[in-house]
Amino acid sequence: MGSDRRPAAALEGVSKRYGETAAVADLSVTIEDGEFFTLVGPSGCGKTTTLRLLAGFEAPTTGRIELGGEDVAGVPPEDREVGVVFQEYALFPHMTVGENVGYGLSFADPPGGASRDERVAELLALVDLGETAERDPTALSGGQRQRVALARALAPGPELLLLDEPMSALDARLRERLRVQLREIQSELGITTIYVTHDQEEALAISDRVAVMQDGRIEQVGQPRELYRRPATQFVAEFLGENNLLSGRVTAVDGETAAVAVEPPDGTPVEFAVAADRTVAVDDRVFFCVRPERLTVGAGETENELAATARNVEFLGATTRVHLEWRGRELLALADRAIEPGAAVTVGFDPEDAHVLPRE
Amino acid sequence: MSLAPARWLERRAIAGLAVAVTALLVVVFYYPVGTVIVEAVGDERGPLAAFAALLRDPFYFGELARLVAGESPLAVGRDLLAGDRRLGVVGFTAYQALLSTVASVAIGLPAAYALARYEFPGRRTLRSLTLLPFVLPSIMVAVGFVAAFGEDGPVNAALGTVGLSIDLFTLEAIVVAHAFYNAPLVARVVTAAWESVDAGAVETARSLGASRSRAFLDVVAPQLLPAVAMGATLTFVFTFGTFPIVLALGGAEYTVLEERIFRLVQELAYAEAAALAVIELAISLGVLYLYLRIEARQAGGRTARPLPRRRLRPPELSVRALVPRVGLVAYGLVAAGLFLAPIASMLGASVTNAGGVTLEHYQFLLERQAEGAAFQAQPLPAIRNSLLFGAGALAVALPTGVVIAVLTTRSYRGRKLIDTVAMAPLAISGVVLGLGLLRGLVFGVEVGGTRLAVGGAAAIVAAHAVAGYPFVVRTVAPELETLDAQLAESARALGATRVRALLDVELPLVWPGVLAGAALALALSIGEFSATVVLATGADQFTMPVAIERFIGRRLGPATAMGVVLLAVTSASFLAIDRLGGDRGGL
Repeated sequence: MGSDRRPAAALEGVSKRYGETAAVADLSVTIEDGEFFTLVGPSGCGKTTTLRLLAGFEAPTTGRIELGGEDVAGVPPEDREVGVVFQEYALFPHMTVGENVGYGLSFADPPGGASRDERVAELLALVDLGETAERDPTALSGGQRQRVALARALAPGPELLLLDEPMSALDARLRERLRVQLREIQSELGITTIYVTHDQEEALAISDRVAVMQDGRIEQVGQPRELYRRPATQFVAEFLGENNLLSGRVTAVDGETAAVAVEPPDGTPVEFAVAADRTVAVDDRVFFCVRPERLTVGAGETENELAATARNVEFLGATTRVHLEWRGRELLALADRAIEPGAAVTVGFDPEDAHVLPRE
Repeated sequence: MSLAPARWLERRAIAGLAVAVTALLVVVFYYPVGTVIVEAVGDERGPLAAFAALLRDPFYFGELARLVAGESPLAVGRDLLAGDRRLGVVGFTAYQALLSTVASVAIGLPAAYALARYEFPGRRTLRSLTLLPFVLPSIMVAVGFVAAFGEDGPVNAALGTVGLSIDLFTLEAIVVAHAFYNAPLVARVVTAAWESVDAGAVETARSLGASRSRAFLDVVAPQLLPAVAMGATLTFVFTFGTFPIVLALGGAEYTVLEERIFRLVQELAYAEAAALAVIELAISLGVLYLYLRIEARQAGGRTARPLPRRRLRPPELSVRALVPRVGLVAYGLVAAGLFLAPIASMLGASVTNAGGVTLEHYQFLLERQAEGAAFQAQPLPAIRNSLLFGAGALAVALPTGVVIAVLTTRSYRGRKLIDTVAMAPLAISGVVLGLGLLRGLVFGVEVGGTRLAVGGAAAIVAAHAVAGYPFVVRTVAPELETLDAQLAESARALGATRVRALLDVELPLVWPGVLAGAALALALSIGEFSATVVLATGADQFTMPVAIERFIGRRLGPATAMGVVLLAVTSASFLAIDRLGGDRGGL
């Protein structure tokens, strides 16, 4: 990024209201050329509406949408040069797989001077479905249909690929395999892709950048690691992965470390040392969060220690999730050894693993 | 982005079609009906004088007219309860419609129960056949009833052996004939509602302690009631606007509104006809509005799991297993008699006379064809006219209906209104529409000094198209509604304009609905009588139903023969449309 190429898509102050409810509220974001950009959030957060606004299926109530640097107000979907893949694929059931993939080539010449048949074959090969052109799409498996839908969307050579939860109808294992394949195809073609999902793990795994949405607004935009490590809001901290959130009062600031006094329900404040990666001052009330995988089980290994009780233990194979009670609060830790429910457990974290949230 | 002119046009095709359909409906429906209303309120005595005169006339409103004239409601009420009360034409029309509605619901409900809750060979066929009476020409059914229940008819002969008989030309005959038409309609609507009851809901009620009958009352019945109400209101609208049945079965004793309006038109008393038409219209529209309100409240959506069907063969010899099944079989026999007797009797009567089997009735048709005078109804021109008008009506009704279905499928502000306005022809009877077209289009309009008028034939096609397109809408719209909206959106994103997406994706997928609508529209046109008889300016425009009506006045035989010809042509048209569907699936 930082190149002089025009952004592939840009929304400026875009809102979409249905009667009294705002599905999208004053949304501004820029998507760079060639980027794999993901909108993630709980259902009803406005991510699908945003995608539909970009595709031209809906018109914004206010604001401006640009595709390739041009304002697309009033431009119908068929003239936007976008490829769309829906959750249920929406394959045309009365056409063969090949006819589905070739449908968009009725309106645009295949890119690179190929013939229609060549282009269809090329796209089907790209998604590993070389031999299926004559088949009936209803005879395919869910994963195959999803790839046909992708090939169909890509066939006319769109400028922008819009994917609306394309994996959510598939089972978990298949989903993981397909997302790797999708990312490979996207990188190979270099096509700007906007991906909508409610699955935060998928969002982190596949994207160059992720926008976390809630109530029609973008809470935070950034690279997956950045969002995971330094969530800007409580919502992002808790939506992306799991987190232990604690609040308290800043009692001292010393260079890169701050002391935060947490007051548990039972009264006696406990002080923790946390990395002061934000400008905090004494007496500020702040939230900080510690990821479960950073909450180490065992005494004497970390700077901050908490004496907790194991309440519930879930063995997950690669790891073990331990639900802890610490002075009336629930905490979550990951352990690499067996722990008995009811056992007294000491857990701890290093100051650099505690991230202080800005006040909201 | 610059666009080629063809693309520019394509982009606006849907809007263009919407404008064209609106213009068409204005010309062939709203303007003609409007002229009737204008004529009715345009009385020189004042805008409402014509209605006031009608309302005070006991000939139309019976005892109720005295109420309007200022008599005490108590006295009127007492007289209404008396045995010799006078209902008047409007009162009788509503009364027979009410009785017909009750009879149709009573006969339709057991059929719905059997079709929704029992499994038996031929169930699917029977379910499809419930549509059939609806498209059978009413004048032909009337001939069938005359043949079956007339003095020499086989049904009365059979009933006579057990000391019973149904008199033709009585209210009972009218009501039974109306039930023949509308009971299947009630059965159809209620069966659909019954099939959409979720078995899980009933099972939940049972598991919470409700008995079988409580679960039925609390869970099933509330879901059936709106359907029953829908079937009843539609039946009322249809039978309130009845004409050929009463014309053929009512004799001189009974007159309904449609017939009275028709007579007034023949006597050139257009003002009174118009005022009466508006009163009929107001009542029908009121009931149709009720229907649309109930329909709108019906929850859509797919049923997770319908109630399981029971086998008709009793699983055990217990009272609980036997009573409903024996009842259904008894009902089935009576219903089969009701529905088969008229058709069978018509077929039988067409090849018999007092002396036995004969072809003389068909010979009469041939002779009439060879030697008939110009003013007489002739078989071949009637067949030709029926097919030509049918094809013309189909050519107008099918695209109109499809466009309206497309426009009313997507949700937008004002859609309800458009839906209602587009469905209004359902409430307009044939005679009233015929009257409007006659006054509005056939007599012509003055536009910029030139008189524009259309011929009777064109007006007949217009009337048939107006009567047919709502059925195209009603067969196509539900299919479009259930179609995944993302199919069309995918096509749009791939570069298809709205109209291309419609042609390439949506229409092929709702093709069975389009075909069903086409078959209905064609059959309704071929069987249409009321508007045709108003608009036909001479024997050269008579259709088969009009020819039947001309024959039935003299002798039953030729009318039944013509009825058989009509049945054959209607069936052949139906089959032709089914064949056109090819492998895309027929009706």
